[in-house]
Amino acid sequence: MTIKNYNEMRAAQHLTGDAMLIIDRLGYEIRRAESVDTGDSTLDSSPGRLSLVAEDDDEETTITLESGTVRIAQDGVETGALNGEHTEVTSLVFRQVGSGASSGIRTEFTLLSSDGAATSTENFYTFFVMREAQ
Amino acid sequence: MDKKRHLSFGFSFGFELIEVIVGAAVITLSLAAIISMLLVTLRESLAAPAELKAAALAEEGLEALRSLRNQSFASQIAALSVDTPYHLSFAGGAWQVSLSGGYIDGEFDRTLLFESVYRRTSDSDIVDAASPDTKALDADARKATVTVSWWEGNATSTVSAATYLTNLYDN
Repeated sequence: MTIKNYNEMRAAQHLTGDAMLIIDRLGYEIRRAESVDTGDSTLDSSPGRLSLVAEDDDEETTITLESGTVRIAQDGVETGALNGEHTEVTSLVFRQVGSGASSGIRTEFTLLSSDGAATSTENFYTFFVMREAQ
Repeated sequence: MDKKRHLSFGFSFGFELIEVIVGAAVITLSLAAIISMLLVTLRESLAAPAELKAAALAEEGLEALRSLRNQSFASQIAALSVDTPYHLSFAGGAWQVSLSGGYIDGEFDRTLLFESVYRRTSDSDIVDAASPDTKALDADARKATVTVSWWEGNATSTVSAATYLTNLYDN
């Protein structure tokens, strides 16, 4: 096992960890949403922007891509980044699918991870139904 | 006196040789085990992104079926044949279930399989189709299994996820 192998392994680990975090958080936010604020969202193109309105307290959650980092904000206050310093999201697209109770958000993103000279990249696709949509 | 010293020297030399041989064997086996473990860790780590992507595709498939179920259980779920493999694709901004489909990113194959759901007459619990219990077909439910397969190394890897879809909105 060489330094190159070690770097490749670390790059793959960074990629997997950050992808999992992004997918989990997207699922949590989209599933609890009632609707999409389409006026404050950028759908069907990258870099995407998604503003979700939750039913319980009209809280608006916004997910954006800025300089390779997926950021999340609630009611305009940024709460953090979803990927770390070792990874870069090179593309993020949100698509609204269906209507009424069947409406959901499909997310497509490409994650690039690097460690030393090694890099790892993968496309990920997720879809979550907005449980509160009527 | 010389003979005794010679024997002592010979015994001492022989013991050390055995120690060296045993020690070398232990070190060799340990190194082999450590290298083997590192190679397994390396292989698993390098395969992890593809496995996560496959798991996400499988979960996405189930969620897409929930969306189609919410749209119309009768036309989107119940109308599909059971025990027939389908493909799920996202095209034109909508989910489409079809009998044939391409690979996702040229690498991942995602298939769906619907199965009939039977309920035991006595308590309405779901039972296997082969169960000897008295049971009835639940026309308002289907078991859906999404399987994602991809070629990895020199073998095909698969990830599966399953759920029950019921006619939640009576549609």
